[in-house]
Amino acid sequence: MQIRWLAVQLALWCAGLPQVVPAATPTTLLTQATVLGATDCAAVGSALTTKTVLVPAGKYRPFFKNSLDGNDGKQALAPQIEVPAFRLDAAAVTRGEYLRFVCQHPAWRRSNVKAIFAEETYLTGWSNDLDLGTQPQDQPVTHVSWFAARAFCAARNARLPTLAEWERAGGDAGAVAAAQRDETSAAGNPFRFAMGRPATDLRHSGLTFAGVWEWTADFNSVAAGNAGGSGSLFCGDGFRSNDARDYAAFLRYSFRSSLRGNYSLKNLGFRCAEDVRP
Amino acid sequence: MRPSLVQSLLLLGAAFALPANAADDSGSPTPAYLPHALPSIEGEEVAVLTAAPNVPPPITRRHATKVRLDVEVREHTKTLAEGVNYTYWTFGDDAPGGFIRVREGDLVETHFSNHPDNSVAHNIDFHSATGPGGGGEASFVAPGHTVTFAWRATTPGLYLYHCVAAPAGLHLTNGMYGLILVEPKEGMTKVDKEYFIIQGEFYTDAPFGTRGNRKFSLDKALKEQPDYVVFNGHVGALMGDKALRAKAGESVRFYLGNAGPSLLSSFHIVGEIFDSVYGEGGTDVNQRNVQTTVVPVGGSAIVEFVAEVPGRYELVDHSMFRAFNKGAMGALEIEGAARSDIFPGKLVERPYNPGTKLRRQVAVAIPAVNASKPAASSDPASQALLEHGREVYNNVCAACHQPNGQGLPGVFPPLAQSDFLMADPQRAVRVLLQGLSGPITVNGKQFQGVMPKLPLTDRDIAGVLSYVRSNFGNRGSAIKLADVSRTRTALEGKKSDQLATEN
Amino acid sequence: MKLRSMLALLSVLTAGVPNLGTGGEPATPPVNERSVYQLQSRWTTDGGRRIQLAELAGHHQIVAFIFTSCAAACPLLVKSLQVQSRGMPARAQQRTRFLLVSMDPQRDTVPALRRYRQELALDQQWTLLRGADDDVRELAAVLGFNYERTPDGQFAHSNQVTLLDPDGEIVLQHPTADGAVSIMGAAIEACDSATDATRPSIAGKKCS
Repeated sequence: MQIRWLAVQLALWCAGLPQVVPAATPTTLLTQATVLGATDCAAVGSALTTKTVLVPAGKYRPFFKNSLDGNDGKQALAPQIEVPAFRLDAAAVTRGEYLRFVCQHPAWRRSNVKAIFAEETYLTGWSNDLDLGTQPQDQPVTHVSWFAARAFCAARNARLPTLAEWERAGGDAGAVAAAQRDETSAAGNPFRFAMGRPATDLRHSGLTFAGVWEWTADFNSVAAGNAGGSGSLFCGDGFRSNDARDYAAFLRYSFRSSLRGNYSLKNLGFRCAEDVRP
Repeated sequence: MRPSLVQSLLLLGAAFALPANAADDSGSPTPAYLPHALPSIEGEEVAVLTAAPNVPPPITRRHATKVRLDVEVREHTKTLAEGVNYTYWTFGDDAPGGFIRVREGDLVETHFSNHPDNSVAHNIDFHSATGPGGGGEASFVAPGHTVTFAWRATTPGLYLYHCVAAPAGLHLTNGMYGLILVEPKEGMTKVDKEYFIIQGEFYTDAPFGTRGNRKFSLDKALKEQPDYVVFNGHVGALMGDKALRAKAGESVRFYLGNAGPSLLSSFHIVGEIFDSVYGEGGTDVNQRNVQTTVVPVGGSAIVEFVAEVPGRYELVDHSMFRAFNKGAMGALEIEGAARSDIFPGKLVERPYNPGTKLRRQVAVAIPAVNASKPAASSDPASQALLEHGREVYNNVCAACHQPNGQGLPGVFPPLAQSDFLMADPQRAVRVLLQGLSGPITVNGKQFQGVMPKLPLTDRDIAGVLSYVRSNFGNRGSAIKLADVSRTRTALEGKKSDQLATEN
Repeated sequence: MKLRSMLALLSVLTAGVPNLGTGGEPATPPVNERSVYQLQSRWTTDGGRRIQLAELAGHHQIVAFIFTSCAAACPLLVKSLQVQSRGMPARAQQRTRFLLVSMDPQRDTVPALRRYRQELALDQQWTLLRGADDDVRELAAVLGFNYERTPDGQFAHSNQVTLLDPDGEIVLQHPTADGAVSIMGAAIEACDSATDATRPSIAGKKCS
């Protein structure tokens, strides 16, 4: 926990932002990820706390217009969607947190999980079911499937964020467009923002994105060409997208549309969301 | 069973598509276009891809077959130009992807894999395939997964293949393109040498040549103003020891492609004429005796010529600033006996001062520049450096210091047997790094002029100085690449935009 | 924070294994770990019966997603499947059933589904199901089917048709309804008419 807190501090410091102090001061650490017996599960990561940020109600414009066959060019911009307030994890779920989860939920350990819920690459890199090996525990967990991510969040009485929620919080289209007009800066590189950048009103919230793609609850909501749709995620997309200059969004949506629920990929992780009590 | 609407339409279409029966005396003309007759498939084989600039050998089988084609996508850092790195997305190991050679009628079973280390989904669109997306929809795949799909090479010609995942322009410019030749049933005419060249562009966050890790610039891409326009994926891919080669008397065929993503290519070989052009990569020779042919973006062309006169021939996109300043240049070296019947070359050179009376005018026959070979060296690396230096001299220095190193009296100092040059090698390096102005004395004569600071790389400087110091009657040691780099680093600390003055 | 995690831990330990966040008492899970019937979700047929997907085992299932308020695409898809099914070889027909899942459980109530069956004259070979939004999303994710609700109340979705073998494993998928049943029927026929010795496979998987 302390390491993660430190990582967040460093990220904020680099971004020139004021520091954020977590609610609880950790007293014990998950200092190393070692082989754990089943009896240790209750103690595993008891000091790990997950920081969430409040994302106020806001708007987000879907990346694609309504029409599947947007090539008519006549479609107006898609209307903005109201996204009600919700809580979102400040950072992607870490390996340490995920280790605690599989310790407590044996069905999701690597040797137990069913192929339909997670493919063969699930938790690749872990030494065994309950040992992270040399992989750092405070970095985002990857090689986890959508089913696994859902189960993790459900176990925490949370859920995956919807695509609308994720985009509202982390797909800052305005910033992307502005940066890409700067031809000489590395900021013009779409990859810098493709994996997420906090929305303007969340810049000082502690929300961070750390170089992994992230699952959403309805990742398969994009009618994508690869599943026999109109194929409009390919060449014809300039007509169908609401901002054809947002290459960061293209990369992100294109990636999402290639996914299946049991995929467990090297650079794909997740974070959880929670409803806000009104 | 009543046929459905779809079935009725199909029947109707078929009725129109079939050729008119001899027994049909209604007088209806034969339609201009018939559906492709699909030959039966016999056997199977594995496609052999070749790295640029080579192509697989011509196909000898006389039947259509099933071809198993394996393509893997990698995302990795590669060298775009000297000192310049870029994250390439490639089919196989490099851009362009390997050249694929199949036959009209083949069934191509493509095994398309996206390496697990990659960051985004990819796909592949074969311009030679008839079907949705050219395979783009069928092949769309996430990292760490593979997909198998098949398409039929119904139509002969030279075609581009490339990734078309969104955003398509980015996948293209990052290097995801290659060529596939679908040979007609009767095969291609035989030539002695075949090569392929694909033109492509890079849009980066800094001007051409800026060292370091460069990133894609969307702004330049949308303006269609690339920093790099290159042949076969990298600056210098067809230069120096990687120049294409042919012997005088050989017939040569170039398979040309243009991946764009933005700019048309006006392909020209300096000093050569294309005997035949298959315009736009089709199956007919549609023009002969052509100097420059257009290669459309996302398209191809095939050119043929006979190598006749030995020497060095630049390959360019004739949009000249791209050739000079952005990398759209390659080379073809033709070896063989001189052909003074076709190209007698330079005959005479003498002073030209119209309107003045000179005491005497002496005509001096100057031997052709190309004939001067650099001094022999013991190892290939030094030899390559000297060759490179000769190139640099001929392209850059000869304009002022003259092809024979004599300079111009009173204007440009000589390099031939030059005491100023030979006395101090390090000074020579500094001059090439910083330029030089102010009075100097060379071989007893004073020169007052300005030598500009030239955009030369370390290798250029080491090469050209080594070359000059061992030619034009000079006898001196070579200059090491490391020395130039060291001197450059040392000078970078000081003011470098002022021309140094020396005495 | 600590109290919440303790509570979460308690709820997890008492809920039993596996906890997928949905569903209650699991039916006898199929042995095949690639089977779609691993899903524990509960569904309601247009006849009002509550089932789990594992009950569909034993027949090949041709699966598609629909919503009954769909103006154009869905009826065409269903009709196309129907017409093609009549062309299936008899033996394949016997071993095959059709499954339509609603992606719009809000509007596709049991009565709505019943009306749909009548309108399209779907016989007992066809099963129509509605379920919770999360469960539909989950099943779609397993089948690689993409859909979303559009602001005007319609749905943007692919037209994918999936063939499950009697074990519930995905063996074939087709991007559109056109030709789907013919291809799947041919595959089922080839599989079923084989003797034990030859044992052909559909798309690489042995017939069960």
